[in-house]
This record gives sequence, C-alpha cells and structure tokens, in this order.
Amino acid sequence: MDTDRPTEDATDLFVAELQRHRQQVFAFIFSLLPRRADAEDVFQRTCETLWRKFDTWDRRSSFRTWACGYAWRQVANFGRIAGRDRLWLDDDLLGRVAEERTVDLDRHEARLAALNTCIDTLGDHERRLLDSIYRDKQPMKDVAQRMGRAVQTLYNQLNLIRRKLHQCVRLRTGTSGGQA
Amino acid sequence: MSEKVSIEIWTLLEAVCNETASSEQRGRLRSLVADDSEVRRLYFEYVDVHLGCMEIVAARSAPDVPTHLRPRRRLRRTLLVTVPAGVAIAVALLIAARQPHERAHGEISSSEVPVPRSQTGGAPPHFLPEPAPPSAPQPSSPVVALPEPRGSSDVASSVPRTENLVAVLRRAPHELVASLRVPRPELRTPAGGCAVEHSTGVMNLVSGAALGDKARMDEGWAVIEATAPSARTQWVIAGDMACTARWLAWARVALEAVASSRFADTYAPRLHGVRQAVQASAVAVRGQAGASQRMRPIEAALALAGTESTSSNAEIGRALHAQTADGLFGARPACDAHLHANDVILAHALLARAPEDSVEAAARAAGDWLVRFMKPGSTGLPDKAGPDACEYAQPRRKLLRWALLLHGVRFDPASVNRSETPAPP
Repeated sequence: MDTDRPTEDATDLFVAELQRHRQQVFAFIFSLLPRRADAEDVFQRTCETLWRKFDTWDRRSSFRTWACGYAWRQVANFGRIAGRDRLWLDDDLLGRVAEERTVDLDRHEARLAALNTCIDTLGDHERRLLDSIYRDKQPMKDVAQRMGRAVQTLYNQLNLIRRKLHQCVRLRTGTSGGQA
Repeated sequence: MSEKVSIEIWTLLEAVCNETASSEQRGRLRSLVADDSEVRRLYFEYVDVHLGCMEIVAARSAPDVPTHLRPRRRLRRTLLVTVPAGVAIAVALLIAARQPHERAHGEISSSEVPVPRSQTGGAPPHFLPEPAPPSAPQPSSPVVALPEPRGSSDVASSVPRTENLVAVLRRAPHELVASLRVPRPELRTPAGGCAVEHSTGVMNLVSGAALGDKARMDEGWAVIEATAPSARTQWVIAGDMACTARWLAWARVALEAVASSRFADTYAPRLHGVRQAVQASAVAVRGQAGASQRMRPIEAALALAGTESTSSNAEIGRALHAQTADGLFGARPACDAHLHANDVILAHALLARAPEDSVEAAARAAGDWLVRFMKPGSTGLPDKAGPDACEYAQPRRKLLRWALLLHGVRFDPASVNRSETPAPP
C-alpha cells in the first residue's frame, strides 16, 4: 500500500471534508497571514500536507481543528522560509491568535450568510466599487484611473463600505454589542 | 476599548486588508491584538467581511454562482464557455456518436472521406453549408441514425434520417478552426478566459483523429500537453479550478477520440502521459467541485464523469441536483439564452459520459426550453433591447445551431431544421 496517500475510500472522505471546511481553513490562514498571495500559497501547502497526513486524522475529532493545526504550522514554516518580515505576529502571539481563531470559526458561516444579505442592501455605486476591487481584482490605482477619481478617495469609500457591511453583519448575527 | 483606540483600530484593519499597512501600522495592530481580546474579535470579524466580499462578489459575477450566494434577478454577465469551446464539444459529441459504428468498419482516412448524403435517399442535411461535390465513395452504411420523430409526419419527412459525420467534420473544422488558429498554451488567456476554450488543442485532436490527419493531431497534442494542469500543479489548488475542470472534461473527450482512432498505438506514450495528468487533476477537481466560485455544477459533473473513481456517480448525482435546484435549466432572462445553448451542449457532453435517466431528462429539458423560447422561424431568441442585446450575434447563432443540432439528433428531429433557419437581417 502507498503510505504517502490515503486509500480510495479515505480519498473520498478527505475530499468531502476539505470541501466542507475549505473556506474556514483559508480564513484561518488569512487571519494569521493577511496578505492574499501569501495566504493562498500557504493554503495550497496546507492542502498538500493534509492530503499526505490524512491517515493521522482521528475521525472522531473535528477535521477543521485538525486542519487548522497543520495550517498553523505551515504559517510558521512560511515565516521561516519567506522571511520573518512576512509574518506580522511573533510565535507566541501567533499561537494565541490561532487558538482563538479556531474557536471563532464557529461563527464564520453565519457571518458569510449575513454578509450575503447585507451586500444586497448596498447602493449601485457601492456594489460597482466592490465588483471592481473584489471581482475584477484590479489594482486600486487602475480602478481610480478608470473612474477618474483619486486613489485615496476610493480607498476611503471601500473602507466605509466594509464598515457598513461589518455593522450589518453584526446586527444580523446578534453580535452588535461591541464597537462597530 | 476606548473611542480613540476604536478609531485607530479601524484604520489599522483597513490598511491591513487593503495591503497598504506600513511596518509601523502592523506593529501597532500587533500590540493591540496582543493586549485586547475585544480587538482580536473585531479583527476576526473584519477579516471575515473582507474574505466574504472576495467570495461573494466573485461568485455572483461568475456564471456558476452557488445558489446560496446568488442574488435574485441578476443577469449572469460572463460567458461560461466560449463559442469555440461549445463547438469543440459538439463536434466531439458527434464523433463519439459515430465511433462505435466506424470502429466496426475500420477507420476512414481523409482520402476516403465521402461527401454526406442521406443514406435513405432523402435530402442532404441542411444544418451545415452545402457540401462540396463528391470525390470519394460513400461509406457502406450511415454513421448516425436520427431518432424517429415524435411529432407530425410532415416534420418527420422533412428531417434527414442520417448524416455522415466524417463529412460534417471535414467542413466544420474548416469553418471553426479558422477562428481558432492561435494556440494559447497558457492556462488563461490575456482576457481571463480559459485557454483550452480558445485553443486548437481539443478541436484539432478530435477532428484530426476522425479525419486521419496526423499533422492536425500533432498540432492538437502540442497545445493539449502545454495546457495540462499537471505541468504546473500550482494551478490545481491555487484558484484556477474552473479551467482545470474544463481542461479535464475536454481532455477526456480528446483522449477517447485518439484512443479509438487508428493512431492509438502511435500516440500511446502521449496518451499515457495525458491520462496521468487527467487523473492528477481529477483529485483536486473532485475536492473543490462544490466549493469553487467559478465552476458550475454541470461542468463539475462533466469533469467528474471523466474520472475513473468509484465515487463519481454519487458526485455527479449531487452536482446534477445542484444544477437543477439552482434553476440553471429553468427559464431565465433572454440574454442568457446563449448560456443556455451552452448548457444544452454541456448536458449532451455529460450524457455521452453518464447515460443516466436524470442526465437525459435534464438535457431534454434544456433543449426543450431553448426551442420553446426561440422566435418562430428564426434562430434568434427573444431579447431585450439595449447594449446588452444578444440576439442574432453571429457567435451566438453558431452556438445555437450546434445546441439545436444536438437536441435534434437525440430528442427532437424538428430542431435540426430549426438549426439551419437563417436569422433575419
């Protein structure tokens, strides 16, 4: 038997679990490494590691928690390989944030669902800006040039939209007691 | 958290998510996060809003929007499958339909390709340009038998009963390859489309196999191999799943065409190499078929149907369920009609790989919808006015013709005639 890879049945299970928790694992990594290109890089390495180590997962335990454990290690490894300056948290804080985030992911799905509704409440102009930034993934300076606006103006607008969405999400998920 | 800190934290969070934070700002956020659990909670929430925007906005703009992320009454703005890709699949399907018979009679070389004529003495088919004069003997028997029409006898008599698909191919690639001549070996085109849809790879392999044209096949191999996702595994997980899925589905179509041709032995090592790439890609496609923002259920199902996995059937079932549940085969705004034509083609492609009742019913429903909403006496579709108007555009007409042809061959012979009706000026 190939010890590097799961069996066929395990492959199916792995695929299903990864599919179910993919967004949350990526959100976990992004929280520790909030630069999209770096987070995607680490996510890919994490997936490969999970695939190789899948037979070590205790099926009675949470796949998400197990996966986040490997993701955490990959983030730390990334810091060693790519340079400490790519990480914004030191090892101690990284561990603390990772631990809290693993628990916080319980609310991730509810936030996403609320956000989906909240985006519908935005005006046309706000949605167009979101489209340009998030869908078309255009650099802000290109968007600004196309719209004939200053880059900082668009950043300000984008920041306001995200605050608005954040507030809306808080209201909808019942966490509006704090600062928002 | 004080008001001052609150204002500061927002600025820092925004800078981090905009990827514009200075090292001082990152340091300040680090210290705030380290000291205050409320800040950490806010940070997690804000990150989720930022990531959620990426996910939702991208998903809403993609043609394969997951049902739970799709806004109501919003037109899908991008073509999922380009016309060349749709046509390539259509041609491949027609080849697939003829292969069993042809294998029984030996391969037909290009010099032996006959001119299409109905084998039952009726008129030649009308859905493609009039064929060139005969230059070779006809095959001994038809390669495709159209089903008996279920409509009136008038309709039945007007529909060609048979078609020589090798001859169809002789003309179809000429028409189509002219617009597909530039190979694009990179996974994505500069405009962001999937290269495999724009390339000559699948088209040339499939048509070359059918026509016995080795030079054309060599050209196809070059593109297919250059676009194989296994050559750059980064593609597989890092976000180009849609292209990978399409590559996977179409590579399978091309592989089968080559494997059943007389060049199977000649290309055995290359077949093996591409098969390995297909299998390697399949694992990742299966893993993300339901989660990818840019992969529609039917496309995922098509890719999965091409994999040799014991779980594929169940996954196809789930993908089809999602396909039906999200209304993809139901009525939708007229400007999406060209997308619907793509759906018909994809549904037939899926049916060729997974001949199950549910797939057949979905394919039939998709084709029926297309026919029902066509304007009488034309290949145009009802449409809204304005800059997004899509009726009678040449690429869409071509796509509609192929979709109607496929629907006609399998389900509704009258559609074959509809497919050749010229559009009004």
